[in-house]
Amino acid sequence: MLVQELELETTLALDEINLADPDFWLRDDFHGALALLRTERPISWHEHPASGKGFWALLDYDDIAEVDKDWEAFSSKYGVRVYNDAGTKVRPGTGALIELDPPYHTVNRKRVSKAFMPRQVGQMEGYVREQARRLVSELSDGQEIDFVNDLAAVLPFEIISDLVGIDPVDRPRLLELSNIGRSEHELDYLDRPEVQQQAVLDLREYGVNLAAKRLLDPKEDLISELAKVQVDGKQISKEELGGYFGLMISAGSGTTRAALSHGMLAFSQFPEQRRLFMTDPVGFERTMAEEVIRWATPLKHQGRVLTEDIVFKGVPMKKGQKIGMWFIASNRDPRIFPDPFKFDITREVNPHQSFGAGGPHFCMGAHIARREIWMLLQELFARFPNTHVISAPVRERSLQSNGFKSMQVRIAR
Amino acid sequence: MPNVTFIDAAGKSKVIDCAVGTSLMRSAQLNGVTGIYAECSGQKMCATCHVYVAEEFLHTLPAISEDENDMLDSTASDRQHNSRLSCAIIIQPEHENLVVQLPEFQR
Repeated sequence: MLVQELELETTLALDEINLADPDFWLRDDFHGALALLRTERPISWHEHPASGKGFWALLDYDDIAEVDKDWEAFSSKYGVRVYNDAGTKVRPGTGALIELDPPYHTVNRKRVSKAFMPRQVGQMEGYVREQARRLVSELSDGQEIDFVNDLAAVLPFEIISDLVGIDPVDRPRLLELSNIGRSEHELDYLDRPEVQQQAVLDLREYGVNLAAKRLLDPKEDLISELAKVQVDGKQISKEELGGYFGLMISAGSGTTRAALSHGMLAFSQFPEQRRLFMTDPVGFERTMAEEVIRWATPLKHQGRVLTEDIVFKGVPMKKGQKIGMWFIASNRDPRIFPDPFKFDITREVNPHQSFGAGGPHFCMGAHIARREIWMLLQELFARFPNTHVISAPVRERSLQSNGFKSMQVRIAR
Repeated sequence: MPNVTFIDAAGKSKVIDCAVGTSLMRSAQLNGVTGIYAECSGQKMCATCHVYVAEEFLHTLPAISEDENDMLDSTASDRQHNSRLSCAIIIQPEHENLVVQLPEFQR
């Protein structure tokens, strides 16, 4: 088989399933393991093999929705990843929107969110389509590309860079930095964590310098808006500004890159879906994009930290413990998504949790992401309907990012 | 309990039974009305629970808050004089036989 077949059964016993182990996510049967865990133990405790620190894992759709909405008990202030640096210390570069609770979250999100609202994004459609068309026009029949880095990474990054106001000259370096910055569990960087940490700092420093320039000379872009953000009634600090910048860049690029890559793979693995899509690409736009986003689940989980001792669904949990909402499991719940392992672009009702589960942090970039997905894949298959994956994608080694590092694709008419 | 009719953009209608004190948005979700997304679950932050309220019921609705007003300027489908967020409408007895039109797009 040229493309991966994911095993829906698992060879793991229930007690062997450890979501904290980065290598669990590289198994071919991880979906089978998640389905078993979700059915038998929808709330379970997992520990990082190296540090022994752990977290609660929620795999049930309704439990996740409840926790996402209950920001008072399950705070975002102490970090939103269940990585091995568990605890209540705020990691460097945080304080950005994703790590605020109401009321500061609400006030600050409002300040930056206008450009991402449905009407405003609708007005960007022409521009997004132009970018997608331009990228596809540079391809030629028979060409072999790394879909992830040559196509999927480029469109979202260009668009968020335009929105944020980044000089085109600086973009290649920032893309590189944001890639390295997300690679905490990658084997390339395991023995050189300073490289990864430096990339995060460099990205942040760029953001801080850009913000300083815009403070003196504001333009019509997101960074100028972000520079005016206040936290606790005070001018936002450099650390926080840098965190915002990093957040916009990584939220605006890595996730959509993952979605596009999974979408390309799905249309290769399910050619009847691609044929269906091409019978009415405009008619299927919205449902296709939603199914790609469910299928891809670009963030396997988002984390929270307990602010008090509670008993949740009969499970006693303690203040300070981390808890992960595992969308990667809930998005395959047959109770919510009939035939969940079928990639089906005709799903009319598709209440996936890839953009979050209805709490205050629901994805701000969702409308842009949807358009990028439907326009790039539409433009690609319109010109090159037989484009297909030619070698199995290399998965990222991550507890959170559900993307691919590379995937070879042949462009074909 | 008030009956409310939702008419979608294609003209198809669905009548649901609502509980006084719940929002129109939540009532729609509980009764399987498609076309209300409510991505923010009723926090007036997402503009995806947009409805057009029938003329004769406009006077039964609370005043539009600043937050709601901002959202109504951000909806996917055009804002009209009878545009409201369904999460901002709490069902009362006077909403018996309320009719609302769903917009073509929420996002």
